Amino acid sequence: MTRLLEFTLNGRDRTDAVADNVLLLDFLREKLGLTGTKTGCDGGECGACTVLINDKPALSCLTLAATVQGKRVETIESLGTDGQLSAVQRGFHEKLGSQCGYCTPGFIMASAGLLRRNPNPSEEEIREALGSNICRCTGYVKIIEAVKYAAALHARGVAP
Amino acid sequence: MDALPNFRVLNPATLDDVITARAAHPGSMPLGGGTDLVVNIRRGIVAPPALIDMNRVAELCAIKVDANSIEIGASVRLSALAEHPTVISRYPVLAQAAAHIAGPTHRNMGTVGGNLCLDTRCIFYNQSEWWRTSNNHCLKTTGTVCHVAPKSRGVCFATFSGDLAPALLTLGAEVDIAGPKGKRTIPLNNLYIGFARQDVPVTETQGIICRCGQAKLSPPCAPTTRRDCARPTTRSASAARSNIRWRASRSR
Amino acid sequence: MNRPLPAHNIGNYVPMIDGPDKVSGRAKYTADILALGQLAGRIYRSPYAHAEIIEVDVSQARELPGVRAIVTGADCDKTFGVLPIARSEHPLARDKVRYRGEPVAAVAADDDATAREAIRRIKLKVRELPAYFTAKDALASGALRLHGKKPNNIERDVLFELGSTTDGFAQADLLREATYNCAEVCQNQMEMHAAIAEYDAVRERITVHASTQVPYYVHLMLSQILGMEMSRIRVIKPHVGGGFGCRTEALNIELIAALLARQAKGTVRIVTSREETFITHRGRPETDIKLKIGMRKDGRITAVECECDQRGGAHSGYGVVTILYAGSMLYAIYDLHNVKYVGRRVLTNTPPCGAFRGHGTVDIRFAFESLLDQMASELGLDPFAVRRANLLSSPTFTDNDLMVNSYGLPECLDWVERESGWKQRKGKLDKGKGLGMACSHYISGASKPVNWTGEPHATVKIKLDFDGSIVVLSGAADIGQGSTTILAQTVAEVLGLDLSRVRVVTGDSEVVPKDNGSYSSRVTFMVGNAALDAARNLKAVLVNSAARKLEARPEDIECLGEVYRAGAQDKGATFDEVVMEALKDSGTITVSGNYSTIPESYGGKKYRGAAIGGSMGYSYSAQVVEVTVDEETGVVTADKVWVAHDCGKALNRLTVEGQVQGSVWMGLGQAMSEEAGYHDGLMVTGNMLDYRIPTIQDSPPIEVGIVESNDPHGPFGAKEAGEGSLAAFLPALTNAIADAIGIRFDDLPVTPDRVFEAIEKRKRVLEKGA
Repeated sequence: MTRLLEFTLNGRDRTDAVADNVLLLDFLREKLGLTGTKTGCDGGECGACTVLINDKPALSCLTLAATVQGKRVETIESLGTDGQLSAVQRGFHEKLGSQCGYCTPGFIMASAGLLRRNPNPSEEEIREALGSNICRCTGYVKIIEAVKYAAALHARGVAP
Repeated sequence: MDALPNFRVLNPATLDDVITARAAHPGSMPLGGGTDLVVNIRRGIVAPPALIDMNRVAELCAIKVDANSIEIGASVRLSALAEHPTVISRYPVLAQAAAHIAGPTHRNMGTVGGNLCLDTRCIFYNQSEWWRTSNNHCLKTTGTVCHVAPKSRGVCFATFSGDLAPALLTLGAEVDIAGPKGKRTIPLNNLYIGFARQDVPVTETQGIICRCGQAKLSPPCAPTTRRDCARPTTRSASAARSNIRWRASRSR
Repeated sequence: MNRPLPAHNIGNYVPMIDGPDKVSGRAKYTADILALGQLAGRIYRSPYAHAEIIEVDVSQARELPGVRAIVTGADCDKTFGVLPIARSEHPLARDKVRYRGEPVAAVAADDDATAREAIRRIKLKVRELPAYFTAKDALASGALRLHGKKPNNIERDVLFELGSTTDGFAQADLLREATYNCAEVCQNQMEMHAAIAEYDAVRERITVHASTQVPYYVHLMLSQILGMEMSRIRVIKPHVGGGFGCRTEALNIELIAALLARQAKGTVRIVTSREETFITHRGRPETDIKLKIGMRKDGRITAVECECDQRGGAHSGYGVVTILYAGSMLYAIYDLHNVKYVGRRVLTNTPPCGAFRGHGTVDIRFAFESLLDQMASELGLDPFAVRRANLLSSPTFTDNDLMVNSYGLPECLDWVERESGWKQRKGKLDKGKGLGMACSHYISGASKPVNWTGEPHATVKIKLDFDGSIVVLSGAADIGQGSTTILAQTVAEVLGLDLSRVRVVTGDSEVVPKDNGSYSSRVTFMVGNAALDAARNLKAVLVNSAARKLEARPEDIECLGEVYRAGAQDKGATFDEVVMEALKDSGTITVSGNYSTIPESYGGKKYRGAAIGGSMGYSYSAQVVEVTVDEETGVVTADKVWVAHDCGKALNRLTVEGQVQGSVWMGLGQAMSEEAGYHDGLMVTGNMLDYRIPTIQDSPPIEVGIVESNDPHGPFGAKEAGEGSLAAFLPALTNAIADAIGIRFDDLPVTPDRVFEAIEKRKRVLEKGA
């Protein structure tokens, strides 16, 4: 069963023919070539597939593409303006919140979602917001520093 | 891309549409956040021919508050429940239970109805198709043995792990169930069936057929929750109603 | 622009040069390389733990439209394995299956749905054999051999005694013996295994993209398995999402993709599931340790006797090396004499283990530092005092001929002792809280390479052309540890240039020099030294050209990076001008740099396998862990960790900190919650819910102190930073728990149920006694 899906992706409206039984993750990666969003587990275990749907972090590996009708979906590829890295991207880069980089897009989207709703999170709030994302390289220490740094940049006007 | 089995997604706009869809598509399953169901579809544990997207039914998405009670729609997101000011102030045990479920991103997706009707879990059941086939399946699906207690005959030990139910039970919650023959209200307690697996499907008098699977209640998740849970106040213990518009049906 | 010349970066906090690609989603990992026409590959895996194969019937699968290739064990009679002496594995099981999940057949089809259906149609007929899931069962007399050449299922046994333990124990004031068990654990790097093999039937060549730490070993094994000349094979390593040792050998997936591609005469892509990644395994084996230590009243260790059994899984892999490291690395951290070690690497019908961060040393270190702590407590000695009573005096050779030229352990001890407030706080914390400490160490690469070809240990090439960008070509595999950045930094530093002048190309066998790979923490030391050599050679070329251009002598030329001048008064020439001058000699400039370890570092010959452990330099770590134990629930919380790591010289403080934190945290996972569990040989924990990786909510702040002992052989004095700190966390944690509640845990992981049970048991014992 295929439908015509209308939704907003990374700020642009689009219409696609989509089968009902396709995951949003696979649709983004394999149909649209947006491979920034990663697959890291067999379903809901790791957060590497995190995107924003209507500004809220969601696991694209458990979201059916058909269900994003009329919604705003944002992937890692949407961040940054004027060719510059966004605040969270800069945090993960400059503070080494990213080592192998595989969990990074998922963490960045979850962090961006956090800063949009809470521009000045405490360390406790950062930990709470990132509890669905697993990293195997950093031990999370520099991820927390990265988000704090991003919040400081955001306070100075850099978009999350 | 991991190919999923073929299914269609139905998009009812009202509760009546849901009931119609369910009747028209036998074997269909309701889709809330998908944080359990989609995992199980991906693992080949269930393969419903149709999913009924419950998330666009307006009357199921609301939390309604009055002086003595709160009515929570089945499609309310767990994060919305946990962050709702009235829930936090008047039913803190419920807010805390909701806030402890899985992780924050899961809570943005998971629904109240989905959590209350969560499929039971077991280390021998929540595995891939290859794994379960290698282990000759189990009593909960197509096998004959419960691997948790192989000597027990016909008893399935898969456990209910939903975190909202215990909190709601302490608040004396009731659920509204809707079907082709109308609506009725039952205490939340009666939504859960008991320990033993029954071979005979229980027929809902209102026409909802559901498979009677095992649903053993277990205490809330992590031990720290016990320490953190507030005791319900007499005010909140009075009349909390949880509006569940759907009753989970098993796949067989 | 008033930047100081020359530019410096060594010792700074330097973000990774490929960071922007990772944070923007542009970095491509193997599974991201998508193209039309890729066939979907899937593997049929054995449901049996131990069985003789009677028939693999793929006839029904072959009939399915859309199936382009099917391979079984019949298609490949070659074996592979990372150690030349231990190649016991077929890419697809042949004659026998030896673990549940072992690849038996594989399919390439037009799409994934067809591949899945084809897999479902494969029928495996076997004669089941008794299976052995524990080392004990596999060793028992009468147990069938998993491999014909390995009686009693011992892949390797090791025995050495250096000095005399009898004499040593006789000199001790206190003798203690204890047994320890460490559960099997998995790397669980975030990127699942993937390989894309592209067979060009016209030119009879194959290109394989693999998520590997060792492109060179993959290349060797592809040649072996395919029976193809190496010159017809190209291996490309894209961005890799972690490894931690599970990709330190060619994996069956890579070889299977190649076999399918050749048969299909096309491109086959295999992206495994998380479960399959778990089952491919190559993790840390379950280990049983019996340890006896003799100690004098002053804390001085007089003798050590250690027995170690590793449950290695169904194939040899790195097994021989793992069981050897466990013994040899008893040394090189403390001044030990009179050591006896008996090790057995056991074959079992479980997924094969491999080299996991800290390879072979971790579980032993847990046992050792736990027993030291226990004995210190009995003797009324502070644990720090016991370590200090046994320090090495560098430079030195250990009894097993390990070469130590830099030894920062004393400074590491001082740092963690001070920063944690140990002296002020130990014994004075609130109820249920405790402090524990421990030490660990690791090699900076194995001095003797796995494949002894006589070549240098590392080679780096540099290309410099008209555009003035310095291109460093290296086979070194960046797996997230930042090796690419280190190479760029090294070259930039020698030439005095800003990092922006330097590009690094890695990971394509068609373009870059071969490198042995990213394992045993060799890259900074060996490839770094090769890069240093190459950079110096390049600098010499540029200095000569500058001398010619400025009509001076080379020895008068000052290299300031962007400026070369002949004396302080000389205006000099710009870097670009010097490059143009140098091009006149040779056209595009290419220089080479090499590095080889020295024979003194090869380790010993005092027992068979004594070379394992030999290294050019060892990192050292000391840690203090603060815990809170909830005696009602058994939940242990690691509140904070202080870790000091002697990395010789921190070339990049940012990545050193990141690696040390990551390794400590990985130790935390192993100590507190991770465990590979099996049900009749079926891995039950093959997902990230049941295999309990700590989330951000479970993870403590980790403060890192960098100690620089300036190794005389390391590049700028550097030694490794990625593995040495993992092991110390485990005993530091259990020592802290012992401090907090007076119960010592000898089995890992220390999960809440085990703590709860131990507390309850103690209550019952006390009640009985009362």
